[in-house]
Order: sequence, then structure tokens, then C-alpha cells
Amino acid sequence: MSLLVVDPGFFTTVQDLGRPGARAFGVPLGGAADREAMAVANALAGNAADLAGLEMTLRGGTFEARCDLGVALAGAGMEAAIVGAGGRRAVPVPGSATMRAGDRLVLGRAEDGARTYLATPGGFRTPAWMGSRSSETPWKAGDVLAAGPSRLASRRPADVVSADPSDPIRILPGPDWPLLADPGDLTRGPFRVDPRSSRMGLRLAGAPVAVAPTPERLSAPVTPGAVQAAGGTLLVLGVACGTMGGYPHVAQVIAADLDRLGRLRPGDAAAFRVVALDEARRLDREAREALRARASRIRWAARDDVG
Amino acid sequence: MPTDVTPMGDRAFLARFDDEDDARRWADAARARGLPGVTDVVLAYRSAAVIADPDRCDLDALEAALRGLTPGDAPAGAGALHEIPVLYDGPDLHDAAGRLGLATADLIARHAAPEYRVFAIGFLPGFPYAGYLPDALRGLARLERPRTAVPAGSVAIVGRQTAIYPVASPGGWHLLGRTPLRIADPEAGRFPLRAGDRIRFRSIDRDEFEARADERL
Repeated sequence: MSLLVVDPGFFTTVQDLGRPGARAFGVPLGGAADREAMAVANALAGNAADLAGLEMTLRGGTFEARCDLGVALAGAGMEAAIVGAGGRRAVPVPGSATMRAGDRLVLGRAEDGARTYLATPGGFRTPAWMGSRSSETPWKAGDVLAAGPSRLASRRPADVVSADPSDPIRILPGPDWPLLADPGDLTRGPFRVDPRSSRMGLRLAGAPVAVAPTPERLSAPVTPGAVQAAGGTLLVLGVACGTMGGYPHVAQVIAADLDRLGRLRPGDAAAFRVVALDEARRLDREAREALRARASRIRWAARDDVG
Repeated sequence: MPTDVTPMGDRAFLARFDDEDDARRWADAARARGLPGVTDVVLAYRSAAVIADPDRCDLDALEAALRGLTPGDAPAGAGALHEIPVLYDGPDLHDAAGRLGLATADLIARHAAPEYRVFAIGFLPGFPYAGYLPDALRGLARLERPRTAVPAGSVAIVGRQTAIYPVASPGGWHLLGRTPLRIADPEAGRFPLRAGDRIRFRSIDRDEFEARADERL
């Protein structure tokens, strides 16, 4: 009743929607860096949006089913195939299929994003803490993840045009926006994603962003998407960021664009554009409604297939 | 009254204040109001963030409610007071006393004298940033070479602040001693210390330390 990690890829963790409500205790939110992709993978598996799946970063790895196991993939395009006694069957991303006991799922490199999600019916039953299975510790070869048994039809949902990665990431002025010597420093861009980036945050290389000195600044609460100016360099906090920060918090990525942060790869260009608060709220509402509708369509189709 | 309430992105607000006490009372008031859709109220020093689930509330109404909050709306009381027993035998105790120009016994007495306020919980789950230290104990910089492993329960100081490590972790603060108490049980999701609470340290001997080992705060 499990999936064996043969090759963990570059950085593969279990994620769900994290631990909202625990920030006052210093517990980071965590969860999937690209929640939309994770929701689509879960829907393909017939799951509710909050079940735990695998988040694979930049390279997928190889996994062996210890029982019949339905698998669903979504997120960054990645070559994927089930290899076993029945030969080799490609699995599309997004898409779903069933691994027979002993089959291996062999995944390649992320082609058009940073993260691909693997969901399975019922989710991965890895240890939970404070209501979530989200973990920052990557799996190693030989680890075993409780899951299944289950089955999924081979399916490929209709493609949805997602945001153009080269579009500017939309931001709102942050609490320390007035400290910027020139707000144009943020929006002239573009910046480049530094390899020293992780689920904790993206470090952006580019023209320096000057802020007024604040030697006595006290730490203040921060959330994923906070854009901080740290010694001329920009940091964009990720889903696993701490609950408070000391650097000037000059801007905040709008909620509708948070998942796009999880799709950026080292070396990618990133530019910012300022929007108004009511526009940000409207975009957030539209994105949530569209994802809910899409996920429920996919989920019902997945459940019908299983019959 | 907050000096300002600003949006922090489109799903959260940040209220900022002129002093720590106003921030704490405002955060208490925000929690006590039980505003619909609010998932987190996070207090840190002179600011408090209110984070909302947009599926469960009207953000404009929430903003209006937050702008109308005053610290006076907080329930009576000044935050729970926790007594933290400490065996002052830390590896940096003598060095810290030397740097501060104090006798070791004097450092201990001065550290254990005041009632401190917990200004924020962060860095690690359940890690309390408390202060402020009396003048004579202020001004130590972070260790130039942070330790890779500070034991759970370590009581430490840096700058004008003091803290307790809830779990073993890397750390760059000066270790004065350790408490036998478990000040948090992250595994069980138990965090008895909250921002806004008060703590007071009490010097204990080795016998009491051993007798109370692993006791819960």
C-alpha cells in the first residue's frame, strides 16, 4: 500500500494546503508552492483540494508502486512514463493513469516551470503535524510513502491557458513602500531569479533597489508574497517563509499571482507591475472561482471514470 | 490607536503603532472581536497583521472593522504571566558577564529580576522574543560564529532581548542557562507562550532542574 522512492529527483516533498491559523505560534504556512497545479492534480485523482501530494522541483525522479496505484500529474510540463511488465506508457501532464504493482513512474526535467505535482486517490498518508502533511524535508531514495491501493483511468483534461510567464508579476505597495528611494526601481526591471532560491523565497538579481536606511526597524509580520528590499537586493518570500521579517517590506505580490512565484526557475526573468487594490481583489476572486469550477469539472469526470 | 492600518497584499492588513503595548492591546482586541473570515492575528513588536480568507468574509467590511478597533476594546488583563525556572549554567554565562563588565552572580540577579514582555513568537515555532533587558545587560551582538546546535530550553540574550529555545536548533544568541520546562510541544501543536504574555525567570539549582526535567510549562 505504498510508493517507493527509487530516485527522489532534485527536491521532492509532500505538500498540501499547509497550516493556516498557526502563524501566531511562529508556524509557517507552507503547503504547495503552486496551489493551482496541486488542485488540478488532486482533482484529476478525484480528491478534495486539501489532500497531500508530491511536489517535485525541477526534476521528477523515479517512483515504484508497491500496489496498484492511480497517479495524476499537473504543473510544469515534464516527460513522464509508466514503465513495467506492460511496456512503457507515456503519461501526459496534466493527466492521469494507473500504475500496476511493480511498475515504475519515470519522470524527466521540468520543461516550462519549476514544479510538477503528483496526486493519488486518497492522498499520500505521510505523517501529519498541526493539521497538515506539508514538510520541508525532501524524500530520499529508499523512502516509502503510504498510499493506495487505487486506480485512475488514463485521462488528459482540456488544457487551460494559464498566465504567460513573461507577464509582469502584479504587486501592491507594501507597508514600507514609502521607504523606496524610487518606486520605479521595482517596476523598471526585469530581475533574474537567483539560484539561491527555495520554497522559503526567491532572491532576485538586478539593478539595485534603494531604500531609506532604517537601523532601528523592528521585525514585523510577513506572509508569502512579501517583497523585501535587503541591502539593495530583492527577496520575494515563498510559501515556506517565516512568520515575521526584519527587512523593509516594500511590496506584496497579489494573491492571484502567488502561484506564479512557485513556477519561476533559477535564471528566469521576473518583472513587476503595480495594480490597484480593488483590481487585485477582483483578480483574486475571479481566479478562485475559475479554479473551483475547473477542479470540480475534472474531479467529477475522474470519479465517473472510476465508476 | 494604530498609527495606520494598511493593506498587506489583498488578503491581509497590517496595523502599526508607536509602542509595543498599543500593538499588543489592539491585537487582543482584534482576536476578541472574532471577526468573520480572520484566520490569523499575528503580533510582532509594534505591529499586528490580520490575515483573512476571502472566501469567508468581505474584505472591505473587515478593513472598516479593523480601522474602527481601539486598544481599549481589548478584554481586561495584561497577558498571562509565566514563571520560567532557569539553571544559570550556560556556556556563555561567564563570557557574557565579562563583556558586560558584571560579576556572574550580578548578571544572573539582573536577568532574573524584571518581568519581560513577549513581543513576538517567531524564528522557530514557539520561540519567544522577549524584553527589554535592563540597561546593564544590553548591547551584546550576535555570536560571530553561531552554534549549529543550541539545546532545547536554552535561555539566551542578545541586543536588548532575551529568549528561550523551544527546540534544539542553530542559534547565535548568548546562552546564559537552561530551563527544565518544555516551553512548547511543537509535535503536539502545544504553544503555551503567546505574543503579549509576560515571563519572569527564576534562578534554580541543579536539584530542582533535575526534579523538573521535561515538565510542561
